[in-house]
Amino acid sequence: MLPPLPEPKTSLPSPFQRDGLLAWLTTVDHKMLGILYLVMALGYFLMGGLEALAIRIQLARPEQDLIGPETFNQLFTMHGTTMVFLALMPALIGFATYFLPLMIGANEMAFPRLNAMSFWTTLFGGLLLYFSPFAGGAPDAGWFAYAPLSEKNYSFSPGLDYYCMGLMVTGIGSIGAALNFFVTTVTMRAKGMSWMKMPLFAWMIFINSLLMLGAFPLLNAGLAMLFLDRQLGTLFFLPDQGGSALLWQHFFWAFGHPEVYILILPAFGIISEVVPVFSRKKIYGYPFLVGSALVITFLAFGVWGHHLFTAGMGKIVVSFFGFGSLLIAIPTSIKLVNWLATMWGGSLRFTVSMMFAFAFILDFTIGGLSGVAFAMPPADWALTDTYFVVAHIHYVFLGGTMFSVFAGAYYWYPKICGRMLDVRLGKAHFWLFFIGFQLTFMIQHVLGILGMPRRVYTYPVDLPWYGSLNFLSTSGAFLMGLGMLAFLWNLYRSLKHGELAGKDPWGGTTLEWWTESPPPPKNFETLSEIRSRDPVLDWTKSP
Amino acid sequence: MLTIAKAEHPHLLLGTSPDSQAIAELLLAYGAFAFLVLLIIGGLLVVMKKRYSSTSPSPEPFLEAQDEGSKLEVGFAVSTFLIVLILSFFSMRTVNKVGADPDVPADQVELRITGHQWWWEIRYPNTDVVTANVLHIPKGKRLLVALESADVVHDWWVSGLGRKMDAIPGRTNYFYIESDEVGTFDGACNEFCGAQHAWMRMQVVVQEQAEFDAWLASQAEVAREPAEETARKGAQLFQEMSCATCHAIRGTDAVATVGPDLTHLASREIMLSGKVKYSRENLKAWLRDPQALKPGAHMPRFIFSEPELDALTDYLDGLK
Repeated sequence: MLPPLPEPKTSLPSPFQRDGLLAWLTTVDHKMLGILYLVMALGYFLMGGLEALAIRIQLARPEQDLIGPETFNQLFTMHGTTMVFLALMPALIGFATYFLPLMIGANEMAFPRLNAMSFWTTLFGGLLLYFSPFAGGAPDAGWFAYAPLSEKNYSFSPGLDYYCMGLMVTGIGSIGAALNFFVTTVTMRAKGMSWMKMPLFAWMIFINSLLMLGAFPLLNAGLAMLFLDRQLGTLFFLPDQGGSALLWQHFFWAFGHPEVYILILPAFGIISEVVPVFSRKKIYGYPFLVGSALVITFLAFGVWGHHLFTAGMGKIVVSFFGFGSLLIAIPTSIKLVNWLATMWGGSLRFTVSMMFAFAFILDFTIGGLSGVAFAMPPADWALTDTYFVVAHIHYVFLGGTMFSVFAGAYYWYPKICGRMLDVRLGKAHFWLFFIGFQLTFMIQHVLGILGMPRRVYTYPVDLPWYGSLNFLSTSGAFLMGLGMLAFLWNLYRSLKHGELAGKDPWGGTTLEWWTESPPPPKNFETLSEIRSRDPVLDWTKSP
Repeated sequence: MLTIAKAEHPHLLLGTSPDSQAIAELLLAYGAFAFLVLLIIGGLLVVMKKRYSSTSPSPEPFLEAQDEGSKLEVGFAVSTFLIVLILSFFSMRTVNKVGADPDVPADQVELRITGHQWWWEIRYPNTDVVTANVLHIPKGKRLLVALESADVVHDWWVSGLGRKMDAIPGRTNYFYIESDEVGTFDGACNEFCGAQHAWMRMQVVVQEQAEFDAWLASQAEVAREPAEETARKGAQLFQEMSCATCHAIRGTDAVATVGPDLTHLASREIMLSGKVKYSRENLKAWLRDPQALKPGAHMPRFIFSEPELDALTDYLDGLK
């Protein structure tokens, strides 16, 4: 093991006092930055959610023109881009920034200033993107911005220039965060915490940092080329002048498919923490949970071609990518088995966090099964770019990643804020959101099978079932909106009126439950040597 | 002249071509398997909720460490791998059946389809026939289609009649289209292609061979000379008012290929890629203000006077 780097004895100097706005603006403390990430993610999630509601209102009835096509296209582009880059990723990075050092028994991240820079670049990248409507129009070519539709001659508002710049800037932030997680995990683990004693959340963040470091340069390279095309007249993606439209798709998905796992590995980490604690059983098959994540990471970089099955690749190429993509089902389903085996025979405590974890397992199973369909090229030739895809991605990103974020929020809020979230409001949030989610997206599988293409601003009035199914789908979206109101009120109210949490309200076993809630600026004064994966358990039994 | 069957709306699971049936079989078989897996996992969750729910107010002590589960995990991984192999086998078999390789002899191409923002150009290479948005094919013939794009990425998909395929600028993709039943089939562009992606729909009319041949012959004719006075004035306006800069009407001086070929415009059942049914009224509304009917469309607004509108409508409506 590497010798530990010197750790700060007190909180790093800030030019101003610890409280107040200036403290938040200048902080390099991982806990404050973690909170900033989470607040930012919540803000952008609400923004993206409102965009989704506008989309669903327009689609509630056939041939409506409440929202015109130009506005609609900007709305769904911003919705997708916001949710992926500004809501889900920052939420996961936020939990990681807050809890990775705590869970491995460190007092800070390896590079506190880089940590602050990562947050602020991510935030300002997002603000840059959201400045676009004031500069002449939001991007309107979808979150994967296929060339040449994203080129100047087809999208002439500056929206896509802001898309390129905004995402490049947030991409720099993500790479900074990944680098920080990597070095922190390698160098700053507490004495005795060998690799195989690390909490699974820390493992997933560590593995995820490898994915981010590999994937984001591809995105930023593609964005730089697109930006040069648009601004300096280069011809990377313009086929009539010798460029290649398909090249963009390769760049984007060589990033985009690892990105899918970037959004799900930390979610696996959260579920792997929540499930054992609320089952009162140690996690089943720890080495397999770690190993399967490593296998996913390896495979993630070799399967982007399944996004291009209809692009006219030959039989051998599609079969290769199809087989590679199917292989991912193996490590993924191993994780599922581990969580089920952990719960089996335990004493399940259905806290709100556990309810979200339970729902995560169900949603992720559905999203995984529908995903396997896209790994079979002929099935993809029928289903791709229909609402079936919309259903699939929302089952893995919203029902999967976001449900894990909610599970994490209910699990860790007491640690971050020192007070418990209200259970009744939490249950209202869960049921409204869960039912709304199933209503909205279960139905979209059917719409996809009926042949409704995605990204349409309206659909013909004379197609059977389209109108009623879309109407139901829209009503589900509003249930989710109500659920979010309950969540927001709960977050706000519990800050002052929640029950005091104490150090370890859930009977957790990882190091974050050893310190105060909320933790003092210096997380741990002293830590004895770590003897197992559940240090809190060891120390409470025999101090 | 032609009896057009009531438009059918086949979905993914009902194929009328052997290709679509092969895809549907794969989907159905996989769907059944996936449903079974979902039932098992969902069932396990329900059972655990019932059996293992704890009512104790404070957390119970942690159960001690159990084995790392190597046997179960390895066994599970191996059996999942076998399932993956089975799925791959069936998937590749269907790929082999349905897929068209990128390198196909060009002389076998029987249809050339080009995606435009936001309409489909359809050419029958062995004839002069050019049409838009409504594709006619003979029943029971497997036709090789060459698919291209004039601008951005589009995607041809008529469910039930074969696979979907992207139209990508700068390259030609090939796929097969076929139907074992006569009738009219709806389709839509499946790749987001800009403002009017929603209204880039198409119709495929499948006919008996003889009927199809008659249709093809009638479409191969050049446009008929307008007889009436107003229509003749319309024909003159068409050439003068820069309509001919974008559109072609075979048999006249208009030969441009930017917009749809209008030689037999009035014989098509839909106009504006499915946005509206073809009718004299819709045609006139379109000429009056294209943006009102299809916002974002590339057809400019010419601000015609009312008599000019009547003349043009008369002329174009006569192009049967």
